[in-house]
Amino acid sequence: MRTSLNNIKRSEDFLLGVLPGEESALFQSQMILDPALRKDVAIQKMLYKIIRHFGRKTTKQRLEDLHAEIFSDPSKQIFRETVLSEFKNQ
Amino acid sequence: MKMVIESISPEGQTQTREWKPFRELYETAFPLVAKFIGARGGSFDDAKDIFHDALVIYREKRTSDVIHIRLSEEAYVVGIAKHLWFRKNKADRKFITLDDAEAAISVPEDYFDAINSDNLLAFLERSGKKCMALLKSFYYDGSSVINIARAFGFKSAHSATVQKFKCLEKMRDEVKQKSISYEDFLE
Repeated sequence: MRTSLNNIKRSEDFLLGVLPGEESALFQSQMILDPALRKDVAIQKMLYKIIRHFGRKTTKQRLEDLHAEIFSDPSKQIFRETVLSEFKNQ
Repeated sequence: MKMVIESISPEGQTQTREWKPFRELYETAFPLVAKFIGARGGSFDDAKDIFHDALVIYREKRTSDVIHIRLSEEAYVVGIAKHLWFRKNKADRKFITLDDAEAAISVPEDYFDAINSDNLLAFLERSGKKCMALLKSFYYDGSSVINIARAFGFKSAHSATVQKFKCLEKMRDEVKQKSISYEDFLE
């Protein structure tokens, strides 16, 4: 892999806490000295959050589709009535 | 038959588990969640929203192997839903007791983080749908690199991994270029 990709991998290992102790300490001191690296790592950390957010959003959309499908399926009438009966006093 | 969920063995060997598909869990667990929420004055939509969140969280736990206790899948989902309901209705907390297994269930800390990432996500999705899908497979779905390589048409696991880092780099550079404020996301 080219150097820049190896750097991304190294940042990832650092963020995941899987860099061996010494390397992690070295990486931290590099970050202190290098604002550009610090920024890169911060953005990469944010990207993992965004990916998780995307994953959750996608899964929820899938569930909405499944919900719509089940609640319009004539063969699921008993299931539907069971669920809806829990809210009949409202 | 109710399935027992085993944790990963101490030797790190994953035991073969057959997880129920969402469709099946939907039909077995939704009535239980609806009963719990309906009995506490929640609406059908409340029940649906909480159930969906509970399934999302449950799936994440399945993926990351952090399920340690022996509960049926349905009981686990209901347990998460109860936690989510308490979060929404704090006053209810003192009227309901959770059993030990339920009390041990946790909800991911960042699940309700009000991170303002929708704009940024939309931008990154637009600029690289395939990258986003690939990264999701790696980091969120927890798919094996072999399966990812196959699904995305890479010749080898190595090329899939290289592409993963390329995608991260591409997105990182796009964020930099856009000078999007990323400070909001940092802890």
